[in-house]
Amino acid sequence: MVYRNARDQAMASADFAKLAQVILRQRFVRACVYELPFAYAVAVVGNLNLKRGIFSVAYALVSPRTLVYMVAAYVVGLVVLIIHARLFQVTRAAHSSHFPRLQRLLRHPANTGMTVSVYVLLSYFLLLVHRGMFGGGVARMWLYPEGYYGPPQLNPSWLAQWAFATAIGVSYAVQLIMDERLQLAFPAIEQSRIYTLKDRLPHSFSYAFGFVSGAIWRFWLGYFMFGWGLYRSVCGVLSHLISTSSYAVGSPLFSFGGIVVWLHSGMLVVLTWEFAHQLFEIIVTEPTHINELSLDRNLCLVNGLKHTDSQLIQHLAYQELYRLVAYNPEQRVEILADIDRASGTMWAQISGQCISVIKVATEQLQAQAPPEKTKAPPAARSNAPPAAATLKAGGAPMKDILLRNRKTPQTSTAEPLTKADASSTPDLFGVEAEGLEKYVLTMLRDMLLQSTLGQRLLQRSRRARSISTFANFQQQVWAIRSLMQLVECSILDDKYGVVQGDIAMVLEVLFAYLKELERSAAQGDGARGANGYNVQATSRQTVAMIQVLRNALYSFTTSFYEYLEALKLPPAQAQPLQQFADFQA
Amino acid sequence: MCACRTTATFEERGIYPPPKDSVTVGEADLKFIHLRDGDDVGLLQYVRGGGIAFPHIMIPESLQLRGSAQTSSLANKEPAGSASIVRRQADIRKRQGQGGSGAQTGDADDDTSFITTIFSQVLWLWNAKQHITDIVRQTQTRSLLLAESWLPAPLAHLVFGQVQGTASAAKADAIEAENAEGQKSMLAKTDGPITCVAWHPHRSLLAIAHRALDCVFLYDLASDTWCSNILQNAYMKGITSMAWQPNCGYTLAVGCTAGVCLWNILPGSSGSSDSSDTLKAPSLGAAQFSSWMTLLAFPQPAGAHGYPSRLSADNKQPLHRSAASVSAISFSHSGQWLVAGHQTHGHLTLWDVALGTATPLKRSGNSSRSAALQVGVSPNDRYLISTHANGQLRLWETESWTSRVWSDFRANVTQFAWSPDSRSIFFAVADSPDIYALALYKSPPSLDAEISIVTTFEAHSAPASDGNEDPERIRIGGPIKSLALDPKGQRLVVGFDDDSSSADISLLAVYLVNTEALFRAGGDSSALMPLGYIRGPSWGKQHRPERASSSDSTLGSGKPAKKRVRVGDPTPSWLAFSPEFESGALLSVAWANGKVSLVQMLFKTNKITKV
Repeated sequence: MVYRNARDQAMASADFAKLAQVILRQRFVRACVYELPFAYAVAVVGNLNLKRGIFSVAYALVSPRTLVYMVAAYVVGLVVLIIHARLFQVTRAAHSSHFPRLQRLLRHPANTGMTVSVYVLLSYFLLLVHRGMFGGGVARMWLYPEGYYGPPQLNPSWLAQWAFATAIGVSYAVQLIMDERLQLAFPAIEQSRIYTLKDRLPHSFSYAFGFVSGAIWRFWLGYFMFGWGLYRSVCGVLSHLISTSSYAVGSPLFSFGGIVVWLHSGMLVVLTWEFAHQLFEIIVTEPTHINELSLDRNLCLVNGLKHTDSQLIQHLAYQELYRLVAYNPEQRVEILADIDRASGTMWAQISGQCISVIKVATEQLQAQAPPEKTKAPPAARSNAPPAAATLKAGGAPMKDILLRNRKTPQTSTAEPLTKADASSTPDLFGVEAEGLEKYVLTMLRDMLLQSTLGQRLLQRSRRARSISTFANFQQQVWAIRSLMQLVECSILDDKYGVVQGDIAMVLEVLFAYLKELERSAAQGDGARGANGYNVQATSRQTVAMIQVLRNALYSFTTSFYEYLEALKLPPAQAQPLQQFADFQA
Repeated sequence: MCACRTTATFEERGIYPPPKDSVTVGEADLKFIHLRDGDDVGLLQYVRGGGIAFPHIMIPESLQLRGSAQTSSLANKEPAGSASIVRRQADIRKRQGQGGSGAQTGDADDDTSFITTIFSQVLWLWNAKQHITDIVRQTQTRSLLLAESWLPAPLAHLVFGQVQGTASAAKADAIEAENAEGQKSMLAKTDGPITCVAWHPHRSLLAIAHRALDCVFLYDLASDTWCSNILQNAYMKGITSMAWQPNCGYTLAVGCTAGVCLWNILPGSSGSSDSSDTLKAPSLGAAQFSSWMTLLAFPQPAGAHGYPSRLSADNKQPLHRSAASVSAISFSHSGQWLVAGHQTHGHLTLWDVALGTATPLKRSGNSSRSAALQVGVSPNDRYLISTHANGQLRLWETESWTSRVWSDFRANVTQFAWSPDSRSIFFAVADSPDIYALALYKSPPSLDAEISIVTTFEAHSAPASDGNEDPERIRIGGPIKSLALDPKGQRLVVGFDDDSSSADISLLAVYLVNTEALFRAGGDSSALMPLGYIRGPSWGKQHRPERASSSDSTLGSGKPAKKRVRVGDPTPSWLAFSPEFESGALLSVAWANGKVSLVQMLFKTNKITKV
C-alpha cells in the first residue's frame, strides 16, 4: 500500500525527498519488527540458568519469565530506536578545540540531558524487571533484624545496585554522545541485512561485555570511596521519613553474588541497547533505489541531490548516484543522453551538484590556509612551455616496452608543496559555540589562557580543522567518484558529447581541491617528535581524500590516455595532468 | 558441470615438443621460435617478424641486505648489520676505540661500560611498565599452572583464559602452528627464490617477491634496470601474493602473514636521468625513490605504532577477528577496492584502499580448512571469484555481494584466469589434467553460469620436434599447476605439476582461445586449440635448485610432499602476462632457479572467428 502511494506521488512530482521519507518510515517499522527477535534473544540469554544444565536452554525458550523479559527488552529497544531516530547525525559536527568530547556533550544541552535521563530510566526499568524475575538477596530493599524485633534497615546491596544502574545509564549515554556513536556510518558495500547483522553481532557482544566489565571495576572503585557516604546520606534522609535502624551489615562491594548480579543485569541492559543501536544504523544506512520508484527517475535523483532539508536524504541520493553509476550502465547511458530538459542537461545538473560539494570543501580549506607571505614571481610560470603541448600524444601506456622513444616528462611547473606556516591563533571556540557550551568553554578558555601550557592547548588543533572540512566526508567521496566515473564512461556512453565540453572544468575543480589538500597535508610535516625524529602529522581524512582524488585522476588519465592531446586542455589543467600521464604524480 | 567439446591434442595438430637443449624466444605467425645451439636462422626469422629478444632477469637465491630498514638499497652492499641503533652506535664506538692507542682503548672501554650501565639502567626504568607486565604475567602463569593442576582444563580456560606458558596455551599454539604450517605448504605455489611476480597495470614495471628475504625487487623494463630501492619491512614476512593498485601511480599491495602491506612509491626527481635525452621514457629507473608502507591489518599488531594502520578507533566497521595471514589478494580494476583471502579462515576482507575501511565477507567457513587459495576480480569489476581449501569455487557478484558455490570437484581449484570480457573463467583443479571453463550466460549481476571441461592434457610421450629421424621422446602433460590467460584473451598458457609419471614439467603448453565457443550451441569449434610449446632456459648443472622440504605436506590430504624440482629442469614457478602489450602478448615466466624470462607472442587479430 505504501509503495503504491509512493509510486503515485512519484509519478506526479518525482520528489526524491517524499519518496525517501516513505522509505525511511518503512525502514523504521522494519527496525521495530526486527527488534522483536533481538528482545527475545536477550530474554533467553537472561533466563539461562546453567545450574540446570542443557535443559535450562529449552526451559529458557518457553519460560513465562522469558516472555515478560522479552516485552520489557522490546519496550527498551523501541525507546532506543526512537531516540536514535530523533538524534542521529549524518555529518560530523565540527568542533574547534582540543576538548572535542566535552564540546560534543555541551553542544546541545537539552539533547544531552534527555539522552542521559532516558538511558538512566531505561536502565532502572530493566533493572526493576530483572529484580522482579531473579530476586535474591540484593533485590530486597529493606533488611529486618532477626525476629523482626526492630525497625528495618536499608539494604546497602540494593542501593549499590541502583547506583550501578544509574552509573551505567549515564556513562553509556555520555559515551554515545562523546564518541559520536549517533553519527551514521554508511556501509562500503551493499550486502544482505542478515550478513551485515552477522558481522556486527559479535562486535555488540564484545562491546557490551567490555563496557559492563569496565563499568564494574570503575564503579567498584567509586563506591569504595564514596559508597559509604552515599549510604549514610540516604539513610539519614530516610530516617527523617520513617523509622530505620542502623546496625552494621556487610559491604556489597565484597559480595560475589552482588557483582554477578551487576554483571548479569548490566550485560542484558547494554546488549539490548547495542542491538537496537546496530539495527537502526544498519537499516537506515543501507543503499536505496528510490529513483526507480519514480517514472522520471533521472529527475528524481537530481531532486535528491539538490535536497538540503535533510542531510540523510541528500546522502542517500549521493549514495544512490554512486551505486547507479558503478552498477547500472543502462541508466548511466540514459543520464548522459538526457539532454532535453528546460533546466539543463541531466549531466550538467548532476555534475553541478557534485562539483558544488567539492568546491565548498575547497573553499573551506582555502579559508583555513594561513595568509601567503610572498607570492611566487609570475616569471617562473611564464618560462614554462605551452602546457597543452606537454600532454603527450596517444598510445598505450606501456608502449615503452617496445618503443622507447617517448618524450622526457616535462618538469612540472606546478608549485611545489610549500611548507606553510603552521602558526595558528587561539581561536578556540570560534563561531560554532553557542549557549551553555559557549559559557562553559569561555570560562575554561579564560582560565587556561593564564598559563603557557593552556595557551598551547588552546591553539586550534589540526584535527579540528580537518573535521570542519570533512564533515561530509562520505558525500565528498561519492561525489568525486560518481563524477569521474561518468566522465570516464563518456568515452563510450556520451552520444551527444555533453561531457566533453566540461572536462576542463571538472579537472580544474579536482586539481584545485587536490592542491589545497596537499597544502593542508604539508602544513603538518616536519614537526619534531619527542624522540628527536621528524614525524609526519597528517590528518587521516586528508590523506584518504588525496588518495580518492589521485585514484580518480589516474583513472581519467588511463581512460583518456590516447585522447589527452585531442582534448586541448588549458595549461592550468594540462600541466598537472601531465604528471599523472607520466605516472609521476 | 557438463562435458564439452574437447580440443584436439597437440599431436593431432602436428605440434610436437621442442628438444630439451632448446629455448623458446617467442611466437610469430602462430609458431613458436625455439633456439638451439646458437640457431641464428630462427632468431633472424623471429626478429624479422617484429620480435624482440628480451633479456632474462635473474634473482639470486640469497642476498645480503641491510637489516631493519624500511627500504634497503641495492647500491649499498654493506653486510647485514644489527637492527638496533644503539648497538650500531656501540659498534661504531668500538671501532673507534680499536683505532686508537691501547690506553685510550682501555679508557674508552671503561667509559663505555659505565655509560652502558647507566644506559641500561635508564632503559630498564623507561621500560618499567613492560617489566611490571612481565612480572604480572609470570605470576599469572604460575598461578594458572597451579590452577590447571587441580581444576579441569576447560573450566580453567573459561575462568582464567589462555595465558602463555600454560599447557592449554601451548596446545592451542601447537594446533595453530600446525594449521599455519599446513596452510603454508598448501599455499606454497611456487618453488625457487621467487614467490610471485606482479606486473604494473599501466607501466612496464615488474615487482618480484623474494621468498627467502621477504622483500620485493622492482625491475623497470623501460630502462632495463633494477630499481635501486628494495621494498622490505619488518612486518612483511611470509609473502604469498602481490598486486599493483590500478589507477593509483605506483602503489603495490603485498599479502603476507601480518596482513596486506600497502607500499606507496613516490618517483624521485630522476636525478640520474639525463634531461637532454628526450627519447628516454619516464620511469622509476635506477634512481632512488621514496616509499612508505601502510599495514592494512586488523587488529593492529602489537608494537606497530611506527606503521600506523589505516584503521582507527573511530572506524565503525565491525571486522572479523583477524585480517592477517593473507593468502591471496586482488585489486578491482578501478583501483578503488582490494579483496584479500586468508590462510586461517575462509572469510574474505574487502578493503576500500583510499579510505582504509574494511568489510568482512563471511560466507565460507571459519576454520583454516576453508582457507582462501586464490581470489580474482573480473576485468569489469562486476564479479569476483574465490577458491578455497575445502574445494569450493565461489563466484560473487559485486553489486550486492551474493555468491554461488560449486564444490563438486575432485580436489581444490588452484588456478583460474578471467577472460577479458568477464564472461568466462578458465580454471584448473589440483592433481587433474583437465582445464575447466565457467561460462556466465547473462549480464551482471546474474550468477547464471555453467561449468564444463574444455580440454584434457593427459601425461603421455611425444617425439621431440628436432628434425631427426629418430627423435627423442619426451613425456609431457599431467596435472595442471598453473594457468595464465593473456589480457586480450587469445593465448592460454598452461604449466604442469610434477607427478610420478616423470613428465617434462619444464614445458609450457600454449592454446589459442576462443571463448565464443563456450556460448555457442552446436558447431565444430572448441574453446581451446593447441598452438605450441614454450621451453624455458636450461640452467645446466651448476645451478642446482633447492629441493622442496620433506616437511611440506598437503593440507587435509595428509600426503607427503612431492619432489617438485629436478636437477637440470627449468621448472616454471609463476606465470603472468603483461597487462598491456601492443603487439600481442608478453608472458613473463619465473623459473625455479630465479630466472624471469619474457616470451613475446606476436599476433594482431583481436578476434578469432573460427578455430
